[in-house]
Amino acid sequence: MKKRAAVEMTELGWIKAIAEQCNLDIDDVRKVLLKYGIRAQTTPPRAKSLRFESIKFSGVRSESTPAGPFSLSWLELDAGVYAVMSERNLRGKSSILNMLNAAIRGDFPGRIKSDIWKWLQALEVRFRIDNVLHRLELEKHAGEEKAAQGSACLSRSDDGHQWVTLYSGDAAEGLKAQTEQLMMEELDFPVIYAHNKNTGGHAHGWPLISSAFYLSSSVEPKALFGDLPVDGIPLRLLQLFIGLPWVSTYSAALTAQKQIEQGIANRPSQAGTATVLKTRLLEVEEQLTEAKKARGPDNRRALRLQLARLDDTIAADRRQARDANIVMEADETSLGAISESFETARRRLKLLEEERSAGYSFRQLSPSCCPACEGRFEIASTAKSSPDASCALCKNALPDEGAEADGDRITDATHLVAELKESFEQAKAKQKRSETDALAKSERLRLNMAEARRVQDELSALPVDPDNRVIELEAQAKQLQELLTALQLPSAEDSEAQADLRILRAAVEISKSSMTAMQEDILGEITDAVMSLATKFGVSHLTSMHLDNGGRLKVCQGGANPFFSALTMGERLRIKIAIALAAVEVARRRGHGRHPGLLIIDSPASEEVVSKDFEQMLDSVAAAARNIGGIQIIIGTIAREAVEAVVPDTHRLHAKGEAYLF
Amino acid sequence: MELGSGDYSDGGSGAVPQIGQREPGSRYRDALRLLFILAQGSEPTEIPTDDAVRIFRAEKRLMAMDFLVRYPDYLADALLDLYEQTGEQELLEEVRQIFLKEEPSVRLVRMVRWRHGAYQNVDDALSMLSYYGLVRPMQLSDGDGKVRRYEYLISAKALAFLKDTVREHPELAWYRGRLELVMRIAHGKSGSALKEWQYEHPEYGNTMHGDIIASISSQVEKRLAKIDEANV
Repeated sequence: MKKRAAVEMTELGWIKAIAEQCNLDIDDVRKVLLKYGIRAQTTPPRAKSLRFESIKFSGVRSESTPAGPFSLSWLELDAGVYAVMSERNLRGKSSILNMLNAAIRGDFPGRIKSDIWKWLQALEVRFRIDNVLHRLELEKHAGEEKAAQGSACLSRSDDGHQWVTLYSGDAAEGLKAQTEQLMMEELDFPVIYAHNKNTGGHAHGWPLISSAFYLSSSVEPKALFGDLPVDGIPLRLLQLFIGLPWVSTYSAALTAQKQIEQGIANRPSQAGTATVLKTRLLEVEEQLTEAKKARGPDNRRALRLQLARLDDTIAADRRQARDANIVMEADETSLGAISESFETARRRLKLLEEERSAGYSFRQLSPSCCPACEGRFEIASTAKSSPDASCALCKNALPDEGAEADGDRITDATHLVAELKESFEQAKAKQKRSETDALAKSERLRLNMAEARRVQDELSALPVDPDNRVIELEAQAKQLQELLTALQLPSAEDSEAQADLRILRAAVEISKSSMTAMQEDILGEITDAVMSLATKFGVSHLTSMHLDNGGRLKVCQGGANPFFSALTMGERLRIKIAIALAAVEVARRRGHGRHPGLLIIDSPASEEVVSKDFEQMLDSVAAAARNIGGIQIIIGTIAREAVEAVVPDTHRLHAKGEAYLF
Repeated sequence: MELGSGDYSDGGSGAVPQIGQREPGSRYRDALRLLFILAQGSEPTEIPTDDAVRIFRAEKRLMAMDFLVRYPDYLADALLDLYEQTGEQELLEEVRQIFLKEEPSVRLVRMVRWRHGAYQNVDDALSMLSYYGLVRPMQLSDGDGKVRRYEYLISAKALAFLKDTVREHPELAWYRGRLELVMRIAHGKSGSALKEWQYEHPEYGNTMHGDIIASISSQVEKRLAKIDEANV
């Protein structure tokens, strides 16, 4: 069901499925997919070929035997099996293969041995991508080790006469970048996006893809495909080469998805800000704890409370003292008035008493002289007894002797004094009470004011107000928390990215299900092919093989079930070659795939490979190359008869005897 | 003759009117007080007669001495001055008694300040003393007939009268005792000298003409307390 559904999947169907999953309009989905350059891979990729046409190089050996100039020219290479051979080791086989490899990777010196690289002066490699001729020219001074000091030119020609320069510059990074771009573009490879739990996402391009074309016994074959055994890369390469439908869509969508996820997770400004804020918040919270501790058992707060209470008390005290003073003053006034009355009454009583006594005494006297005429009275009783009380001589009125102080008046005055005395005593007592009260209230006011001053002094004597510090820090913490919350809320930009991400995830999921629906069958085909090839290559006791959806190859060998990584080094190399050939073969058979049909195999015949097996392997490779058609395999090997039997003379570069290849 | 002392002689009737009470007269008391002053402030005459055993000079001195009798606080102050000069402890005791008996209040008989200081018209009192043949005022004139001063001749009868009065009315002995104290101050001093001392008190000197001379009771009492404190 799944398989059929995947096959039937059209571009519109794919977009519809995504829109449904995201509950969005088709147009919105289309816009987002277009924005990230993700297109439905409705037609399977057509394999494009890559093969070398020639290699020419020259240089000067120094500090070596033999010394002096050298050169090599190997022309008219085409599809088929080619061999670089020497009777002895260290005659230049690997160097030629490495130069070819470096040329298509644009990566110098790459695997080229350092002495050879140093001696090299000029290199020209011609290769065809889908029959379009390309040329790499590299020039450097003999003795120069740095690629950046050399110059390189990459060009293309339709007819071998007119050359279009694609790149001209240093032989290092510039060349590498340009070569990668050229190859990815021309061979229609998408970037492979692999995600690592620890290091995040990584985009892999031409260096990884091209590593699948180079197989060497001198390099430990860690991975089934290519040279990176991690993050599911071998499977991704395999999917790429066999041209699974939707694989480039899946890859592009996954790449975009991962990039956005990474972007959100690593948004540097926000992540940085959040980190700074979090750090600062922790600091502030720590300081806050300290400040709260420093505040101690709320002594300052208690003092403030006391001060506030004292303020209230003082206000009340002041009112009471003022009122008491008013009462006291009124009482004083009253006392003063009563006192004055009392004193007056007493003076009056004294006057009345003295006047009566004095009067009494005076009246005992006989007048002797008229106060008016100063005439002397001879008979004292005359005047005294005069009925009209006038001088007998001058007839003037004599002083009134009968005006005796009235005893009743003295009695009244005495009563008045007694009454006023009582009143005075009462007023005095009252005044005393009000005075005592006023004084007590003034004293209480004074004491409370003194206490308030003391508390105030105590407060101001405290070093730094930890209360203020606590309040300040609490405010800071709150602010920081608000900022952090605001940061954690998705920004407009994030919201857009999140919306895109939802679409991309749906695209990845749907593309993947379309892709994997066919994958199992294809992997089964490849497994069968590998099984057959590996057996031919001399991997012994193979009973069965299984390539699972995770890209892991389980090899059933002599009853045991080891994975690829558990096989011997020689076995792994042969299986790698088998896989590579199988991938090309299956792709060719199914009519689609991206493997460009190029393999460079260096020294596949290591010690443990017996001659017979090698012969068988070589034969199988040649047969496969023939069967598949259009592929180029260049093998570097010690000269053996088997090679001569399989590889035609014109396809051989052979250093005989002690000779060097260049 | 005008009996001018009635307004002030009771020392309080003006300040606090006694409703429904007729103002008591003070002419006998005023006359008696004056007689005590004249008798004790006088000196024997050169040629004593029954009518003139002693002579008192002169009116200004009479006024100054009367002031000291009527204002016990000023007397107390003068006694403290004397104490400071002599160191006589009896003087202090006398002052203490003045305050103990509240004399500055009870014995106060207020005076009005006039141009020449505390003044009281004594004509009425002198008339009475003259009427009973106790005192005879003498006008001494210059050659042009202008009155220069008064002198007062005191009769033997007056001295006997005072003696009898005190015997019959012991409460009036206070005047005799008071004049003894006043004489501690006034002895050998002219009226002018005595008034000069009085003027030294701001309460007295600053009193406007026609106004009642204020008491200095509280100041003197404090002065006494201070002296007592220093003596402890």
